[in-house]
Amino acid sequence: MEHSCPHCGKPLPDGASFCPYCAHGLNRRQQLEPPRCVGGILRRAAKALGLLVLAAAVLLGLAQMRKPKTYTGQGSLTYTDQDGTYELVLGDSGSRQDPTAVYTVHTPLEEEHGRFIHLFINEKATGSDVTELFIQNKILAHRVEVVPDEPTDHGVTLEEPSLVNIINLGCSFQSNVRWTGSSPDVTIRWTLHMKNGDTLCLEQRQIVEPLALRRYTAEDLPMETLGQLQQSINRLSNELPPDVMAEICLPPVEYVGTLNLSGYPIRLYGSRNGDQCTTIRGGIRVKGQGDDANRIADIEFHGPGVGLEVTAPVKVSGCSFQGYETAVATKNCKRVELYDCLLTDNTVGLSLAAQMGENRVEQCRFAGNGTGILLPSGNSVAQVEIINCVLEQNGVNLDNQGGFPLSLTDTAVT
Amino acid sequence: MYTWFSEALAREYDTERVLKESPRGSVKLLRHRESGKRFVLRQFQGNSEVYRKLLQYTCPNLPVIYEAVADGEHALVLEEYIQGDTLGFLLQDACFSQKETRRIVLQVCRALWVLHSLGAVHRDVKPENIILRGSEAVLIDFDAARLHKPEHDNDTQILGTNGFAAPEQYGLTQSDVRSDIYSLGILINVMLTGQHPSKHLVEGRMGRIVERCTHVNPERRYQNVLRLMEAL
Repeated sequence: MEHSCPHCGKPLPDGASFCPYCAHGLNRRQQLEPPRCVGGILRRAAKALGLLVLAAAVLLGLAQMRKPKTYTGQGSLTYTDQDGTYELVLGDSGSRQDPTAVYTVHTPLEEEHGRFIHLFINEKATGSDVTELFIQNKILAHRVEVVPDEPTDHGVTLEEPSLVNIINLGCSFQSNVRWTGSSPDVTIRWTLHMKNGDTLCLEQRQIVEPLALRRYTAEDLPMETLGQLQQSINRLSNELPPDVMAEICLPPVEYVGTLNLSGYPIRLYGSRNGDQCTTIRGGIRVKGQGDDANRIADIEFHGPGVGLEVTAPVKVSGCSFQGYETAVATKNCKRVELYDCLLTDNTVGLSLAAQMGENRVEQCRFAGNGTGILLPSGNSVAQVEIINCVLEQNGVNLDNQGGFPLSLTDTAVT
Repeated sequence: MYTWFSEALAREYDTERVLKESPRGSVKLLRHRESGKRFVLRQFQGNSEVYRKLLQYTCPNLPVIYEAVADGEHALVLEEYIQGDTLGFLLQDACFSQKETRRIVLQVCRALWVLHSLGAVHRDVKPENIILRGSEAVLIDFDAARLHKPEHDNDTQILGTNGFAAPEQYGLTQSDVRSDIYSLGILINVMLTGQHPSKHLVEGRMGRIVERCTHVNPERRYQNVLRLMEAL
């Protein structure tokens, strides 16, 4: 795809950041600056005034001498008051120590996606979690808002933040950000008004890189057998550029064996023709890194073994799983979502192990399984929401061996 | 995109001079024929991820990256031409005062904070890669820079300049932001004494800062540039 240079009108390829014809840059740029060093400013001020002022400040207490100040930072900031020095970090569900000043997402143009953004508060010297104490004792009011570069309808929304406590991550102030693939780049600003009059302002830049979706059917790629399908997927993973995602529409045939999806995210959609539908007698292994989710939809899975083995973000919808030892097994991936799926006559329907991030099971039915949903002990699970599901006539409907945080909403358990 | 950009540069620009030539690639000073504007063009074999990330941002202490394209292993980067002397050139004649050293190193820290925020490690911080543009220090030459990947055990390519490179850059473990902290410690000492700290460590408080920056164990160094900036 091409567009024109706004300065000289010459045609430029898509993605160009510079026009070589008129030597003009094309990108709007943000200036990045480190947070101000409050501790350093205080030390320099005290030195300049002399030892007497320092002694007076210690006697009277810094709180009595301080005027309200505003502190700003991108991704993180350091804040000192009379009780200590704190590090405020804006990050994701991975770690409370790693600030994210810039968060880049890859989103197809017409789709809406979401993520959690966390505000962590750590004691600076030790790195320990002081979020709850800080919020309860020091914060008067807070606000989180989307600040667009221009006053347009940007389509980015934020939920009112809530205090959460996630195993292995600790406490944080969490908000949910939602956007579409056509949303512009925005700044997410978190403002804390402190009881002592100070204002803390943390920002995170969200960059949306639109993804184009390219659809493939049996007319475009060989996919009559599992071997052909695997080869076609491997080829696409190697050949497609990073701003294009493949959607593969599978014919209503039966595949026998195990399909591997690793690395590049792929979307697989099953189909139906009369009594015939896309079926897998075997399983799919989903591996890889990054935040973009694979999608698997409208496929019938038949066991034995493991139906869907997941170590990368995946969204599964409209699928059925029957006759497995474990129908869907997840481990060490950021996000798993199951929508409108049927899991029946398996030893274990869904096993969630060592999950960071957000996991969601919605409008699914678990019936006649040995265990409907299993959260094994010895592994950590961050958040699981079970919404509008039915768990019935399973040997054990819900086995939360590790006692992990589960949210059950409108779910029938019989 | 690589071919288009390469051909457009050949048509619209003259090469004023070659700034650097090495087996890894070349750095040239280009002049746009029509406007007379000058740019630096880097051609190299390697990863241009760091440059691509910088396309969206500015920092007074980093050159503006105008374009970064790649064709497999071959990369082309067009960046701002910074006019001024390098610290390396200036250090030939004299050392810097403590006040000047602090001012310049703080600016280099600002540049590194931006790179580290984008997940990159420079890996070649040294006087030859710092240009003084008036009163501003600009950190250039990210050819050795790479994005830090927590799942990798060690750096694939060993890069960096002897003397300034942290011990972990010689292959046993992966270099991270603390490798740049090490190089900054060497830089501070060289600016103040003209010598590597192993030969002559600067005295006093700055000496303690240099020691902490250059500790052989990365865990014992300043853990990020913000902490070093506070110390300075």
